[in-house]
Amino acid sequence: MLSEDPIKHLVEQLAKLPGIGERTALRLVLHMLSSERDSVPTLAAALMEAAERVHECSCCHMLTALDVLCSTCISISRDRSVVCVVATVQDLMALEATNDYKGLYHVLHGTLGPMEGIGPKELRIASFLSRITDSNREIKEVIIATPPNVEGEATALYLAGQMSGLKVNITRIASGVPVGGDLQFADRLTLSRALHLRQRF
Amino acid sequence: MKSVYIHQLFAFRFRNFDTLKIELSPKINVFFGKNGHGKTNLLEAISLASSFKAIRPAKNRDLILFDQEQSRIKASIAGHDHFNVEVDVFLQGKKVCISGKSVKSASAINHKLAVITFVPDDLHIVTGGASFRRQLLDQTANGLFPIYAALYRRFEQAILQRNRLLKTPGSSQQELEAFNQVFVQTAAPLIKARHAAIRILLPEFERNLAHISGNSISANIAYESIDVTKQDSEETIQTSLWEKLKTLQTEERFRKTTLLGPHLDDINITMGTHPARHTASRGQARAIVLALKMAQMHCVASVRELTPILLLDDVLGELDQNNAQRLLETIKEIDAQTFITTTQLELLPDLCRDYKAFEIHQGTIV
Repeated sequence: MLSEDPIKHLVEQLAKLPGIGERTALRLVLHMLSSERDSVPTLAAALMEAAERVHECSCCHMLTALDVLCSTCISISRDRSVVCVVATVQDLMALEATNDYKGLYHVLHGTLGPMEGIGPKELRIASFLSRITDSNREIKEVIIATPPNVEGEATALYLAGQMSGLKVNITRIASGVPVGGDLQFADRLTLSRALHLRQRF
Repeated sequence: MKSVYIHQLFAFRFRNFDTLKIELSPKINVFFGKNGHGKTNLLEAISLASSFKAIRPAKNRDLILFDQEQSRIKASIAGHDHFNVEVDVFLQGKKVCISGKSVKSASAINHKLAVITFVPDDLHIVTGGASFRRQLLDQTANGLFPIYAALYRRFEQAILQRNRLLKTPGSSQQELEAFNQVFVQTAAPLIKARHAAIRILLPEFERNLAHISGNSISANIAYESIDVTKQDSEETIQTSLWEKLKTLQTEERFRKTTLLGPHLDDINITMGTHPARHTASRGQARAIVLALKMAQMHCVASVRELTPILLLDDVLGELDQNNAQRLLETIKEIDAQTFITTTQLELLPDLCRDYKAFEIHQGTIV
């Protein structure tokens, strides 16, 4: 399908992306059409390839280009007794970048938000619960790592409620002062929470 | 006592001001001029710069000069603390910076400054609806506990989500349970802070009321929320909220909205055994309001050891000569930077002779 005005059409498509307004979209388009014109086919091909090959892992719902399961789920070196539940793919990547965590993940693809029309059915919760029950007690601990905002907290509480009958340890990531941060610059709610949830030294 | 004041104010395309730059007195500043020329707008700019809050609820569009898309207020703060505040108002939202660093919550500015407003609407605190008293409560708690604004924002988000869930057809009981817990967790610290605020306010209120009325009026104030005693911890408040939520379960499902919480609470003002709103005369009601506002100023100053910034919109004219005089005595006593609007300079009481005056005419300083 050919559009009458290819520039306008492309700007409209790009402006649908999060964080990109019409002005930024136009700047990107003009940049690609002038100095970066040679790399346009590569970019287009990369987009097409990603769209064709990337899908959700059938177990943890991380995005992957592997056949059925993602590289974490098929890895033999990961600890299969721990599952860390995260809200988004970015959150998983951030945790993975710490190089500290060797267990498995589960990506919910969002948090509960009635105002945004997101209920439990919109998230990958059913598959998570069957994953825990079907694991034959192989999974000993579930770490809930949803964000500490209102929606993330409600999601964590909902998950904990759903798992109440199951023989599995449920833990929640701690919240507090960023390491290396200056106390005086930490936001006040975080600071008061850190004080409230202090630990024995 | 730490004293901080607004040294310089700059407003650009704000309400009916195109460009405005003024040097302010650390003591009393008076904005005078005819109605509708921008006195209150100037007070609004000061309120936004010092508390990130408008005096009256306003849409962003109304804060921006007609036909423009953005307005900006800059204030430089001097005294025991030095910093700059920048507030940018866009049609879709506001952006605030303290000394060039972007901040998200009003808690950041509340930690550095305490602002108390006294506007004609406050005269309804005794006789009007509960929202007037909640406003007094929130302003006092904000002045006393800088973290209050952040707690409030979190609670507001929880209540918005919960109310929407109650309106969503087919939502499960388990999902509601999750949002109930978040509601209880965010409501409890607010209730605790409000109890504490009233506890601090009460003795000052009694003292001021006795002073204003020459010991002829005595009244009591109590925070009216779920049934907890003043000394209760956050955990016991949570338990009480849970119990009350259980009894309201069916009704909330039916009415599709939250039926308890800090957003519905009230202050009980009583004279003897009767609610003041039914028994107080007009004069008594005014004396109670004045005593509450003066108590607020004293409490914030003594607890925070920080002189508050006072914004008085057209109230001196509403008070009789004696009461206006008493209010000014309080202001002098705590030595706070004060902004007063009035239509006529001559209406100001005698005590108020040492001030810097600005005449405002059609959106400019004459």
